Amino acid sequence: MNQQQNYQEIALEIKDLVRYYGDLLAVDNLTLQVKKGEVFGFLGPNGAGKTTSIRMMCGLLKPTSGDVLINGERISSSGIRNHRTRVGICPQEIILWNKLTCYEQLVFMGRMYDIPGKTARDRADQLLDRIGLREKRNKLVSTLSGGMKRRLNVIMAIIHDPEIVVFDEPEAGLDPQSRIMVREFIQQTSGKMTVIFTTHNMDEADRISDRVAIIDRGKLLRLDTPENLKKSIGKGDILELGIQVTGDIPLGIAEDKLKEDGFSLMKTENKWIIKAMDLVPQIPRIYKILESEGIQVSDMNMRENTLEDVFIHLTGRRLRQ
Amino acid sequence: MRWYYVFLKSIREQIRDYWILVLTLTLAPFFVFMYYLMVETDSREFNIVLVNQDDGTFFIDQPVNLGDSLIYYMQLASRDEQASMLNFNEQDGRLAGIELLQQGDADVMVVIPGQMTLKLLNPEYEDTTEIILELVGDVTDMQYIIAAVWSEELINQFIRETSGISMPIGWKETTLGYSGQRTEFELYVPGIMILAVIMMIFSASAAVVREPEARTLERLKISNLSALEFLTGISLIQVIIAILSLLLTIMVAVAMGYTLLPGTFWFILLVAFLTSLSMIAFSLIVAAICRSIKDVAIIGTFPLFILMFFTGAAFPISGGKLFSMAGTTFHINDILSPTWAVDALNKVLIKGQEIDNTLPDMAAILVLTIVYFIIGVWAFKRRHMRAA
Repeated sequence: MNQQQNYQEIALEIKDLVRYYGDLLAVDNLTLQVKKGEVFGFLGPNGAGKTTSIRMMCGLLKPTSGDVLINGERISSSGIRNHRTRVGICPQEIILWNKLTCYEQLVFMGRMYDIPGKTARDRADQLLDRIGLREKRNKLVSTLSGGMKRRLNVIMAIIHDPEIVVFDEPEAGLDPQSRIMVREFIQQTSGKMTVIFTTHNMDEADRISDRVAIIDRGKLLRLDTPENLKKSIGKGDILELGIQVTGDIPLGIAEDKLKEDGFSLMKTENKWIIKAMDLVPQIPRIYKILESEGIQVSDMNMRENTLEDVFIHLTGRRLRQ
Repeated sequence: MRWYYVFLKSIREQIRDYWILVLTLTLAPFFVFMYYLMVETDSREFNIVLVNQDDGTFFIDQPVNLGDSLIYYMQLASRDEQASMLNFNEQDGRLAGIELLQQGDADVMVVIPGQMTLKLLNPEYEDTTEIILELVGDVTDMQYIIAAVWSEELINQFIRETSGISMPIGWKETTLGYSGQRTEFELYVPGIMILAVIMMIFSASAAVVREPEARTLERLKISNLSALEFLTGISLIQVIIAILSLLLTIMVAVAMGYTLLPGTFWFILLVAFLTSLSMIAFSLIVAAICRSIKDVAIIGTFPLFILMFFTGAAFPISGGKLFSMAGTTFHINDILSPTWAVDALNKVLIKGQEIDNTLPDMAAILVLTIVYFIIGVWAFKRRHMRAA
């Protein structure tokens, strides 16, 4: 991806950010830095505090405590008004004017950011071209398909050419064609702009992020490049086994045996995830251990390490649980 | 200039969301047409039943029945233009007359007593009690009251003419302003002009609520647009809609026979403009209560009815007294700005007062507009801006 790029400057910095909703702690002492021009992914399950965090970054939500700095300037002290043209946000929900055409709302939003008329019009056409909506230029938004609306939602965030653009779950609800378009669009956008996005899709985070912050229950668990994150839990293959247990069989004995034989074992509800180097020749041995303890395997899947494994390693839960 | 682009956007949305626009523009002109149909096409007539129980007598050897003469006099009077709305129907007996009253075919029954001629022509007649003519009817019915007054007046005239008695006093009626020249329909028109402005409460509330409902307010909030620019852009189109509705209302009224007094057009526009600002502010309060355009259609009906029926816009009304200050009495409905607007129009268009006399009304509209704005902006921010 863009890992070769040298990120020297900090575009956005978060210091000890805390947000409570009543008694519920949504964001817990979040501290991180986003470098200029990088694609920064927020990975976490639903309710992890991703959207709350980015809403505070954009000044849409006031933190309970802590600071957000854009280009080294605290937005809480200067107010978001001074940073409005610097930040663009693509919300998770489709937020569009149904009674305006695609072109009209892009130009309208451009004018709201004080972009000169001709620039706004030219930029609207360019963006519609880039996202594959040229033919729908003069169609009312209410006549577009869901995927088209989502694509338009994405380009609305950058009509004013911001320094930082925040995408909240940009691929959520997209059809495969639109997903590819949006992914390419974000990749093309990075470098020129700093891209921050939230996702609970490990594949999305892995493919397009320069760095990923894994958060859960409002807390930052790990922050690094996708490669480093995957390395952090060890190299090797992953074997996912669906486990069926008949009767009152203690699983602990099988667990102990697998660990004694040098396998790394993680468990989620009815799945055992076994990790080891060069795993294929060892599968019969694993089956033998399980069968000897009366445990049946209902399904089996073998793959490489993913960010989901990192999340499971850190939390003991799957991202979509 | 950002307000201008909000204004352009709102025009597009209003035109493309045309049902609310059509409703707002046409309801007041439709009311004018309805009032015209109700008031002017219904020619008012009063049906009077006459029952003559007078036995008559002989006077200078000639049979005389003053009851018959009275009936003839009244029927003759109804041919006169002034009393042409009176229809007389003679019945043989009291019961037949009551039956007509009960069926709604008569408004009043006049019963002429049995010894009327005898008592009037023979002063030495032994029964010296006064002659009692009986009026029968539903006293709660306005038709009865008017028909009874007309009957009494004609009977008095008949007595005066037949007896040669002349009244020592006379009456002269001087109409205030243009009230004497206005038809009943025309008296309603100033109120309906303000109703045209009140109707914008739907489109204005919908225009404001549309943004938080679609969450587009969130987009605007993170742009450079200020709340003042947003409200200016949205309000301007609403003022134009209100003025268009007013012009349509005036056109329909003139087509139905309303006489627009020379020099009053710009005064009407000024009052409508001030009232439209007030209604925009009021719409903010409505928008603060509502979450969606559907809510506006349901919840917005309540303030609309209050403004329609308690300000004199749809019907002349006088609210309960609250207090008096500096010689001016304040009523409950004075807290509604259209009350002052209707009052201002009535002063000039009906009572013939100078426009200067409406300055207190204009001032009241402005003060109430400011109050509505303060409440509306506070409530709107609290409800929608915090959530955005």
